[in-house]
Amino acid sequence: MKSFANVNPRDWKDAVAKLQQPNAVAVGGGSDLLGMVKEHLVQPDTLVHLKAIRGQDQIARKANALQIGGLVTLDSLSREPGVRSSHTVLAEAAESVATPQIRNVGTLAGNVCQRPWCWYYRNGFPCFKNGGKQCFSITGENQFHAIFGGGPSFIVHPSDTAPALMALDAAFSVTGPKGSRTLPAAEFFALPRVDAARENVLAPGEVLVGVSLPLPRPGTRSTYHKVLDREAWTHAVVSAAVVLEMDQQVCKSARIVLGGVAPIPWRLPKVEALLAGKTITPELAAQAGELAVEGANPLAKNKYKVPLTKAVVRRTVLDLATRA
Amino acid sequence: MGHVKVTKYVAAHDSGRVVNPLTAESQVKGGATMGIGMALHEELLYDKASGLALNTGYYGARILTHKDVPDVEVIWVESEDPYGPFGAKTLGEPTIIPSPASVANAIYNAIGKRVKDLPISRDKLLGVLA
Repeated sequence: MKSFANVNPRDWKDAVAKLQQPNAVAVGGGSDLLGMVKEHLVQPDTLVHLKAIRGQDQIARKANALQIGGLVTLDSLSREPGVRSSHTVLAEAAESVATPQIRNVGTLAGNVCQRPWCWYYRNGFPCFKNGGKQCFSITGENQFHAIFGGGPSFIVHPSDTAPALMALDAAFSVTGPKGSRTLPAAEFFALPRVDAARENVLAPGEVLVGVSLPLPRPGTRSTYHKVLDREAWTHAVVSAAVVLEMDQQVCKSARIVLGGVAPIPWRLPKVEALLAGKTITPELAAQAGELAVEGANPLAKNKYKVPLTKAVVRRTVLDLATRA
Repeated sequence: MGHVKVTKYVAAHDSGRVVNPLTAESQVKGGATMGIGMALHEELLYDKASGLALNTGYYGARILTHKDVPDVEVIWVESEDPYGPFGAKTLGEPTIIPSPASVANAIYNAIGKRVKDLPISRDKLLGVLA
């Protein structure tokens, strides 16, 4: 493992300045980054440790928004009673990540900005993510790869919290050498056709500071359903973050975002439009499932994700709408 | 959908005279755990062009986690083996021999369809159920 310096800035201004040093990277929990350094996937000279910045691991309820610092750990996010009652989908998503040990150190911002877990990338193949000019999964072992939005890279976005944040209409606060900016979740993530080497629009030296979630309208309920290949500790094979605004039996509005199927959290606007203003019956939920996979473009070994996605959307929507 | 959970595993072994029941039982539980993992998840994948392994490491190997391991009940069919030391027979490796086949049979019993190559992963199960 290449040796590196560790610095602990006390505020964002200092952190941004330190991140402009050559070959510097930001660290939250470090649960994934240190492994990548050991595997020579990243070879930083300086780790800019953000955990010493005060107040960035707080959850604050404002008049019209829930503000969550990027350094809140996944464990505290999943255990915060206020988050669980008003933004259930986010608490459930945080709870579904990896293992208790990883959730104890892993942060929200780190989870959202996590690099892909494609095995070609993680094994150092010269793919788009490693600075190369090809995606090995297209003709290779692609059972966990994208069925939507792929090309030229076919990775799936690895985060569980990202679909939840997009379903909750989160605003992402970012800071960097050119100052701070806030952008909607939908504009934070970038498809490989925009930039095949990366998964989001963070410029060099920019970091995700935190997120702001609007408070739910009355009658809103939400849930995160994650399909794993065993009982614990895998990334989502397919997952669905579903937020429904209900008036008795009628769904006034819906937001549905899938994980595990595309290089970014994959929103389903057509399905949302189908459900809006209707009573959710088993038949309507089945239609939602069918519509969810419209335009799916599976590779040789991930065709099973199409019926799986259909079932996940159908069951999660129906279960959430009819839950007592 | 296409998810398999082993809820209970019963293993009966003729091991001659069981000299140390505690460690022998642990041996069976270990074999069952490896065998269920072999039946459902574990498979070493390679890049065909370079020959490099893809799903490497503790995470990539997809062994069972604590949450996946079922309750394992061990039954001893004791006998006296005149050729073994103190009447004992072998135990270590035989514990894994029947486990992938018994998981495969349990799946067949549950869904009425056979998957004939390991691991019996979700994509293969959804394939035979489609």
